[in-house]
Amino acid sequence: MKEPYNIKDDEALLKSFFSEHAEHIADNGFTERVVWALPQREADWLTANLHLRYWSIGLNVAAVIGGFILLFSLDFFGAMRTFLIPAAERLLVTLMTLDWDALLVRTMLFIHHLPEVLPSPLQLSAIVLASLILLPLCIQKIVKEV
Amino acid sequence: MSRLSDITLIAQVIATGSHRAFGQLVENHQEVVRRFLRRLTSGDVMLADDLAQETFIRAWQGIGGFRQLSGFETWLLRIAYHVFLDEARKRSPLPTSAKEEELLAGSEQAEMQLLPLGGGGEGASLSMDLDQALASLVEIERTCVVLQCVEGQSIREIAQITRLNENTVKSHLLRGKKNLANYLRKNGYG
Repeated sequence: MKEPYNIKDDEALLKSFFSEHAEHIADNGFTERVVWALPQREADWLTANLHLRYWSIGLNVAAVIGGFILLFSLDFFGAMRTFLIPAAERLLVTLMTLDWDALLVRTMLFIHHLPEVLPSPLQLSAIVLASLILLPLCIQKIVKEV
Repeated sequence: MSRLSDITLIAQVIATGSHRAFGQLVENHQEVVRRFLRRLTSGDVMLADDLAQETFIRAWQGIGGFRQLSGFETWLLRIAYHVFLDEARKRSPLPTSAKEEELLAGSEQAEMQLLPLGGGGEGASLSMDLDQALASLVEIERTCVVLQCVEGQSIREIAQITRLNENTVKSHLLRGKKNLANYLRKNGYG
């Protein structure tokens, strides 16, 4: 009578056999040869488009700087001389001679009467509408003068 | 090498094309890939290393397609197996199915003929050549047995590497291990 096949015997035999023939393979420069032989990899979208991101950031920064220059370039140095420097001087003098007690009282009174001086919703809407109409006109005027 | 460190290195390679990061991946996995290919090529060290280099180059080119559905090592072994098959097709003009039939016929003959190894006993078992023993198997059985018994891959991983279904892998493993064990016993091992 044929004996039934016992797989466990085979498993034990093979385990012993492969254990005896376990092999360790040292690198011996293999990695270096592989890296040396690597071809140029086709850049994926992110890598290929990183330069576009840099261009986009650069253009945005240039636009902001250009906008400031455009607004002030009409008479940038004149504006500095006429308005900013005297204003800074006046502010400095004011701060040095300020009556802080009086300022505190005036601030408290202002806050107390604030609801009386705020514009009504209708007045506020009119102010916003006027600003939206006037602002483009101002910008147009500046552009023409440039 | 931990899966987390593999993923970190892979991310570096994909994002920046870092040769250093890919070199680290190669160093971490070269032993497994080269050993696997040496068994498939019946111990041809130079051919195995050439195929291993080709494997890593293909991995480098296709790393953007690695989806982490399997481990990185399993993915590498799958590439290695297909590099080996491509090489085998180049060397053999016969279509795969006919080649398989020839190999099957050959393995049956090898099973009947005992290879002289200088007698039985302990001396014979120690001198039993690993590649000579594996050569007694059909290619697909040898692949499955090597992946499980040498590289410790699970049946699921073997199925992913060979692109066979798991039941087919189990069948090849059962037959392959039985044939190998019979070969070893007939040649004095065990």
